[in-house]
Amino acid sequence: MSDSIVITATALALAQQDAPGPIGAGPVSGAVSILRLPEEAPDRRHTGPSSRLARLIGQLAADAGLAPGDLAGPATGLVSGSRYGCSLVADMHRRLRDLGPRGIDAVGFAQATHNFPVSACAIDYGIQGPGIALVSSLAAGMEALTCGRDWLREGRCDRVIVAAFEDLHGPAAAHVELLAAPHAPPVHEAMALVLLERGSLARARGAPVLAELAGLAMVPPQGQPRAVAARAFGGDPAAPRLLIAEAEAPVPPLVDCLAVGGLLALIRALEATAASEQAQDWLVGALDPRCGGILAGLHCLPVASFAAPARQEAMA
Amino acid sequence: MSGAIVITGLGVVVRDATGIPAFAEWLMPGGGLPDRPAHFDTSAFRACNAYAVSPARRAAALEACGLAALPEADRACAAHGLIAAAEALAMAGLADPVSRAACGVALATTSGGLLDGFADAVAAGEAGEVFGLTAPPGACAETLLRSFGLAGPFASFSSACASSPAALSYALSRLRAGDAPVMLVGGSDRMRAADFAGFNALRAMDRDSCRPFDQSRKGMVIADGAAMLVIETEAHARARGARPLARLHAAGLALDAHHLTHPSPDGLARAMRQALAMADLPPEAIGYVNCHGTGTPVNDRTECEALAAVFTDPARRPLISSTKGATGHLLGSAGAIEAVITVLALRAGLAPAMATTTTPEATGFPMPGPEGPAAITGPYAMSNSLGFGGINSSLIFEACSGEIA
Repeated sequence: MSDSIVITATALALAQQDAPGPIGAGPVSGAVSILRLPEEAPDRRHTGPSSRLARLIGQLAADAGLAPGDLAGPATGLVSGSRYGCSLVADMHRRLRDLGPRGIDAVGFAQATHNFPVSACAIDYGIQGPGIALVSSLAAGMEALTCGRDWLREGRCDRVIVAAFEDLHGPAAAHVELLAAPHAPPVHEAMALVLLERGSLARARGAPVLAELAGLAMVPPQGQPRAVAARAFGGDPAAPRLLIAEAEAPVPPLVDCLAVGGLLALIRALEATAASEQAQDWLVGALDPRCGGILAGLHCLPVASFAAPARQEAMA
Repeated sequence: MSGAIVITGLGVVVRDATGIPAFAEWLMPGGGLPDRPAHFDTSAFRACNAYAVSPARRAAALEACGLAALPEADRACAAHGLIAAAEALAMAGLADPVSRAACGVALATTSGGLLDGFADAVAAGEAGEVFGLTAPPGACAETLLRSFGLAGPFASFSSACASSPAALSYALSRLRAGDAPVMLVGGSDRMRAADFAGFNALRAMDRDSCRPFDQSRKGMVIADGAAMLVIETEAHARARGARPLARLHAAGLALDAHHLTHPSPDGLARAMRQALAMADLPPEAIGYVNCHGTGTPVNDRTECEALAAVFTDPARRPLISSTKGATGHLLGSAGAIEAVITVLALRAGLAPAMATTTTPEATGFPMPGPEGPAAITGPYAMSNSLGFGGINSSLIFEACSGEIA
């Protein structure tokens, strides 16, 4: 029998409606508000998204009972998913247009890939397992989760840090505004992380098991989420609760954070289970009306220490 | 789901060829030399040449496969993908919408300049509704899904020059997990002026030509285009009467956690060993390795060290080559076109000539020369890719008999 795959920690940075800070909340322009995360402290080795990812990985490891050094080596993988990727990629085009060839320097260009956050954090933590970046549909966070699940099932590594983020500056922000319907709810910049591990190794370490990943199921474009519940649970689930991010119609308590939405739904399900103090089955994920989506079946366990305020970054 | 995964369709568009037969004929003697791209002025840069698909080739190819009227056809990156995908799906016998409805898409692109065009339109006050569909970095993959009526699993990858193997790895996993019976997978990219400027700033580009594993090599020459593969379970292919061209056994992935732009041999060696373990093959089974082989001094040296660490018996080492001296470096599409080349090489039993490698380095491995293709022994071949930021990948293929239509 193959080993189970479990979730042992999560981390979340989510821009808030009432956030203070240097950028904080408020409309950028046009029909939709874009709520921004605060800028990270400057560090020449990092960009904003990579700096945030590095910090959240540290938090994730600590919550899972791991020292940062435990992530070093080929047993740990790292994957990211995003709708728009890193804004620095598009900024290279602006710099060349405005400043000419001298506007493109070697260090800046080396940081201008969508996989830069993954690569920079791999270097910081010595992560040598599989590592890739997706810039994909509104379900990109769930696509990244799928990669992590694949790598564990295929025996490529023992744990995978799964990240989803949105970095909405420059043309990405303008594109969000282009697509926004009149009076659309605000779009939140966000970064969410989930740590997937082999169940046997996590339990042997005494790590807090927040949920067992029962399965993943693909939903075709315009498909019905309930229709895949059996596949997501590897059999008939006992009426799982449903929490799905749909960017065009976010369902409370979710907010629209584009491709981060699937992992946000997962974290909200874990929080709800912790609050209920009872084990619960959840079907969570994200749907993109054009590309379909991915749903995860979760057997969530009530871990008392997993409480929402402690897991969500203070925005000040 | 276990069982073999087979390749049943291939498609390609590059500067000098549209379609597999023309591409193979052009590639095997060693391809061509770079020239000035038409879509932006390179005269201000240190290195000025590239392999960029011309607007005329793109327009003719779109017209030939009946796709010219699509709004996405105006975006070069998406157009390249459409052209290669149309060929791959037709070769696989998935020409009608019913037969391909369950097919998924896994596509690679670095960025393809899609948001660049939108940014320019915003600056000019001309950002119309068409950009809603065509501007996001994942829009190339969405275009394939929408244009060919595919409804299977979907993902789009941007992992620098290892993007395509990431897509192939994902597609392989979808088939093995039973999420889909067939996947359209590959890479589609467009050379951006910003990337051209960036590689120049890094002094990573050769002014004349790319000379992989040559003593006088000075760097890469970048390119654009697309390559697509149809992969499916062997059972699905047999059931519908499709002819397997090759098997895809494994996709190894490893980070080297070393440096953003200087690769480490350890990471690539781990990716190769992972692929060999997944394929349940010893290193000696591999008869040919299509290397990343960018022609930069650091890359080629690092790659040779990694190969020597995996293929330890000097008497039983595979033939190695790089085809970037023929095609240039297709960035996000590089791994996909080299996967296609590896399949073509296995089927021909020949690795393409390395026309620009006239004074070869002592790599410790046999290599084709500039004079013509070299024979491959055995049915297994490997294709390696390295990406900025220390992303390493290794694919393993096996030859199948049968003609390409």
